[in-house]
Amino acid sequence: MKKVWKRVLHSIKSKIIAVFVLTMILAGSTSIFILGLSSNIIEKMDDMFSDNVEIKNFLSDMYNVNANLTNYLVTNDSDSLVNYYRYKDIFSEKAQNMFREMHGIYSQNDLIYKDIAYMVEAYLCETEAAVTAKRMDYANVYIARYAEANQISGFIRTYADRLSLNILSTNTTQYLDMSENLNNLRTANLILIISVISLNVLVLAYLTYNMTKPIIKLAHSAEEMSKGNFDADDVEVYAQDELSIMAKAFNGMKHSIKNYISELHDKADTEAKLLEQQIENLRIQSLLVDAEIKALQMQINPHFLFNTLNAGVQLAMIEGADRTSTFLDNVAKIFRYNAKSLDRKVKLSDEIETIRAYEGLFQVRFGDIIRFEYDIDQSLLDLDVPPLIIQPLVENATIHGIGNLEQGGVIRIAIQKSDGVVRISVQDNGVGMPEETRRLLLMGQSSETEKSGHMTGIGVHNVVQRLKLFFNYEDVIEVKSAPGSGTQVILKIPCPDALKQTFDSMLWKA
Amino acid sequence: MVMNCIQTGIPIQGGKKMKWLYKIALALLFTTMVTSAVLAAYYFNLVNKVYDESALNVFSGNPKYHFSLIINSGDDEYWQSFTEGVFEAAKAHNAAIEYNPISDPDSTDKIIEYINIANKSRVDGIIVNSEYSASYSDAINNAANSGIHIVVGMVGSVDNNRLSYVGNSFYDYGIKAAKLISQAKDKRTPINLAVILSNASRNESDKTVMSQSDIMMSGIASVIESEKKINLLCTMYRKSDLLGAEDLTRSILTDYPEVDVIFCTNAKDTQAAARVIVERNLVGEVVIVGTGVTEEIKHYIEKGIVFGVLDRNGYSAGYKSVELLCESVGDSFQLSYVNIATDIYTAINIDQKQLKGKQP
Repeated sequence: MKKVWKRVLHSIKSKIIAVFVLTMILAGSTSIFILGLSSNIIEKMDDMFSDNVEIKNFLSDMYNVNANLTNYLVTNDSDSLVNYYRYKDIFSEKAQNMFREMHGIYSQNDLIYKDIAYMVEAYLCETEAAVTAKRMDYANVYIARYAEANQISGFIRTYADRLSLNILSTNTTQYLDMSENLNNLRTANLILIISVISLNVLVLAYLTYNMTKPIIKLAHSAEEMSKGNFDADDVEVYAQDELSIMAKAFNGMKHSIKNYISELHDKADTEAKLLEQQIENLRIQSLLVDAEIKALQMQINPHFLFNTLNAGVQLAMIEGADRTSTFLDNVAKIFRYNAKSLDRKVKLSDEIETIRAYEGLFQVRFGDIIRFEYDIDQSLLDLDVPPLIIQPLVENATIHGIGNLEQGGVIRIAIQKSDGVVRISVQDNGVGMPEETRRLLLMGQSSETEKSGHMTGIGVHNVVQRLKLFFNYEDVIEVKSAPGSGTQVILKIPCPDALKQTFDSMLWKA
Repeated sequence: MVMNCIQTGIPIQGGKKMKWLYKIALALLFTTMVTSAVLAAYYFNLVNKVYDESALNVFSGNPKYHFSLIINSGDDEYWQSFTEGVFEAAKAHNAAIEYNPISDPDSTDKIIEYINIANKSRVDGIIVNSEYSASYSDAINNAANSGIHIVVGMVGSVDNNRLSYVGNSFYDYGIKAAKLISQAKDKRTPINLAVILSNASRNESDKTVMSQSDIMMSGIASVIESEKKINLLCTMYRKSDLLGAEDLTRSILTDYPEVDVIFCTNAKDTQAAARVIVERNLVGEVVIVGTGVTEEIKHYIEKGIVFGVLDRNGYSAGYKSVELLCESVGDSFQLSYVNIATDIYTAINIDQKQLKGKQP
């Protein structure tokens, strides 16, 4: 039944028609019901009083018969005779109609009707006899007949009046008996009308609400969408009509828009990341260019400088000045190493060798005041690294760490592997640095003085950025320092295995 | 929960509570509608029923005869019983009774008119409760000539050979009354008697004709003369309702303080006289001998205010009147005389009247 109902009400139009028909049927059937009752009662009321009207007309006809008869008998007027016959026929017909056969159910009034019918017959018999006697000029006869007819008409009138009175009395009694029930009937009808109207209003309200609820839901959902909320629940419509189709289409549209926006977001994120990467690359390139410029500045005519230094080395060897020869050899090594391009890769051993040459220079200059200590895992020396990553740190340690100490200091260089990370540590026991300086150093915002006195002109920030770029690894530096406690700068680079994985990952991404 | 749309303010979700309220309201309204419709139909049927029952007016069947009953419509117990008997007999014998009440029993013109109307209406028979009067002769003769049988409910002193009689013998009635009166008081001296006669029992129009009351009084007189136990103090006639039996009783008690028994010839007068006896605190001193049996009279008999009553059996008279007419319709006229026995009831046998009930 429910399925049939759903099948029938498959569209808004059919639903509206169904509601209209339902309310119309309710109101219509009620009206017909009440109309039926009212008509029946009115019919009964008509019946109640129609008999009185009939009797009145009957007496009027008898009066006409009698009047014309009298006129004819007195004046011998032929018109009166014609009228007499006309009214007599009418009167006779009515009297016959009034005759009630007493079959089944009968009343006192029926008996009176019967009596009247017979009396009319007797009356007309007398009037007819009077007319005949008049025509034959039997005066005594027609007078006697006329008198008899008059007496009978009196009897008829008496019974007709009695009948009217009986009917009126019966009607009055009936009306009094019926009036209470009629009042109750009226009250019941009133309640019926009110309840039907209320029922119609409620049914209309309920069905209208059910029909408009999905539209309201759609409106609300559309409003939420207009605010940018695409996460609201789907609009559910259980009815099988156009609204259901609309809701499904709406939900589909919402999901499509949501997916599209999501894709746009992803694309924008990717583009932003790409842009950031490009900016970073540009920045690093700028750093490289800057470092190269500085290196070029220092490589002014490097062949001339190397040749000159080699000439000095050879001269020192010829003159037997071995220390000078070694000194110049170390200087030459450092300059040669520094003169190489920064975008090439070197072995970690090359870096250490350069540091040892640097140490040689310092021993000549400062003797034993500045000592170098090494703790190096030899297995890591073949690790590929960018050039000039340790020397700037050593320069910092010598210049800023222990450079101002009269008693000198120790610079400890350690290369160890732990937790998949190779740690290159440059530690001094110098003056250390305050926290603010340490923070600025880590953020790459150290002052220009940081680089003053450096052979390479390369600062810590440059080293860090090149390491990040080279290894594609962010966490490359750690600085531990406190005023008076020395400074330890640790460069962290991934192990060769990790590097391989990173490389593979980059390849895959590419 | 009902959420409101911020801009539209439209409730977007009706709660379960609202749905339930809707369902309850719908159910209530539907029940009210159905109930009121059923009530409307019920009251409509009641209206119809009242209409139909009023129209029926109690008669049913296919009557073989049509009789006209011309009778006193007053509240006399005898004629009420008579009418009742007529209708019961009509029902039993499949006859239709056309009831023609006469408010004034002396209205002979009205009786004549009704007899004439019945004649012209071709009824099968006429029952008249009035005592026969010579003034009816023409009307009765005309009716008889038309083959209509007429039964008179009172037996008069003048016979008309076109009439049948159903009723009591008033002479016998008078004798029985006198004998009952003589037993009413346990006295060695004659009982002082006052008689109240109703207006219907005297023919004022023709003094030469003996009326029913005259016949009855002659019956009483015969007993007085033979037994010498009753001394008739006075005979009062109740001429109209204005001078009722109560006033006559008071007059008797005032004018004849020695009165022992008051005799009344109908139930209404009997009750009125008994009430005056109670009012005057003369219970035991003056007793009533009455006519007719009503609940009130039974009560007075039990209390000793009314010594006894004569029951003229009006019901039986009415019943037999119809039987007589039914038997005679279609036959040539034969004079009939049906005597209805007058019963006597005192405190001893009044219960038998209750047991006997109404029988033809």
